[in-house]
Amino acid sequence: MSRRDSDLLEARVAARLTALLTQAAAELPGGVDARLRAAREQALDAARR
Amino acid sequence: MASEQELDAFLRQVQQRAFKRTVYAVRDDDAALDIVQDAMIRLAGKYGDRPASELPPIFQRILSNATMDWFRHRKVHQAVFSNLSDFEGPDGDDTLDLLEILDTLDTRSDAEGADEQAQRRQMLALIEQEVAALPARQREAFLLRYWEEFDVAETAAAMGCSEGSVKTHCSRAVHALARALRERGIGR
Repeated sequence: MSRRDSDLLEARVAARLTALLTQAAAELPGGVDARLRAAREQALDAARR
Repeated sequence: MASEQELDAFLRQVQQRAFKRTVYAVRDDDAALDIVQDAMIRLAGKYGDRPASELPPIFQRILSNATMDWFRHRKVHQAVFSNLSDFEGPDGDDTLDLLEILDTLDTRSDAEGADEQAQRRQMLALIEQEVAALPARQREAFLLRYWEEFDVAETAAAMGCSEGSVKTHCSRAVHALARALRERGIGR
C-alpha cells in the first residue's frame, strides 16, 4: 500500500469513527443537557460583563 | 468581534463534543461538566471580543489547559502507555476490514429492532472506551483533527506542538484504535 493510500485509508477510518462518536455524543446521560445549558448561560453572562 | 448570538451558537455547536472529549480524559461526568463550564466562561470572559472564526481553536486550547489543570490539581496522571511497536499491524488489510464494519454501523435504519439497537449501543460504547484508552496526546490530536475538523496547522496550534507531531499522533491513534477494536472482535 502506498503512503498516499495509507493516508486516505486512515482518513476514512477516522471519519467513520468520529461519525460514530457523534452518534454516541447525541445520547448524553441524564441532566447533562441542563448543566451544559447552565454553563452556556454563565459564559454569556461573563461575556456581557 | 463575535456577537452574543455567534458566541451562543458556537457554544451550542461545540458543547456535546467538548463534554465527551473531556469525559474520555477524566473519566468522570461531573468533573467533565465543571471543566467544560470553566472553559466556556474563560472563553467568553477573556476572548469574547475575538472574531467568531477564532473561537474554535481558542476554546479547544482553553479546554485542553483546563483538563491539564484538573489533573495537576488532583495530582493524578492518567497516562496510558501502549506498546506501539506493533501498532501498524498487517499492511492495511485489517484496517480495510474495520472500515467495512464501521460503514455498516454508520447506516442506522428506522427499521432497526431492539436487538440491533442494543448491539449498536454496545459497539458505540466499545469505541468510546477505546478512544478514552488512547494516550492523551494521541486522543487529543485525533479528536481535534477528525472530530472538531481542524486542519493540521490548527490542531498543532491548539496542542502547542509541531504539525509533524500532529500527523504522527493522528496516525498512531487511528492505528491503535483499529488494532484495539480488532482485538475486541470488531473488524474480523
